[in-house]
Amino acid sequence: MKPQIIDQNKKIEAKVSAELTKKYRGEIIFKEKFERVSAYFKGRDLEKEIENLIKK
Amino acid sequence: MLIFEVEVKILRTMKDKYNLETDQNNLIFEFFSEGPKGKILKIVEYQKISGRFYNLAFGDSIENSIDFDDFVRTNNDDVEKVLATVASTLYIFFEHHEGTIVIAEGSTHSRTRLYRKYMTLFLELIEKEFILLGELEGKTERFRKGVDYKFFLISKKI
Repeated sequence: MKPQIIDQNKKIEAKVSAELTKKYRGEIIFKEKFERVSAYFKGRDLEKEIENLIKK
Repeated sequence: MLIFEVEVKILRTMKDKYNLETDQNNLIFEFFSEGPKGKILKIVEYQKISGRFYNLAFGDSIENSIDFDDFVRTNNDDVEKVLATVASTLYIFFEHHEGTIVIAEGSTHSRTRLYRKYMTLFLELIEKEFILLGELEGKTERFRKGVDYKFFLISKKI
């Protein structure tokens, strides 16, 4: 049996936490990173780029 | 040690993961890294950039507050376990956000190279379940070993 990164026999789960939901209230946490990545890809039609790549 | 032995050792370690907590939207995940530096709260955040594109951000809590630092080097002797835990959030994220594409980039060049190292090591396994692309200088392509990409783009195969 080949090794796998994530053990497929063990379901990957995360406990949903009401406390965590309340703590972050849907706000962006890493704001600088968000702005930088958004700016980098601004104006790019990533959707089309990927569509073309996957077609190949 | 032979390269094969190193790979097996890393694969064994990668199966070991920390317990995760998430918010109700499965966009934010928290876990504690445990090692010589103590218990360190880490956060993984999926940020909607546009359409079906999400950015993966990851970092440490500053003194367990809601301020986070994505540049910090924890050195808690658990890099493989931490990366396996971050990778496991992708499975949960894609399960709840079908058809999305995740953009990932290290906060520093050396961290991006670290991600590339593990992606290269696990490429065959990753490509069984995911489509992995690389982005460099305004061009996106299928991930190739040895290329110093700026970003990685990951989507789940349907």
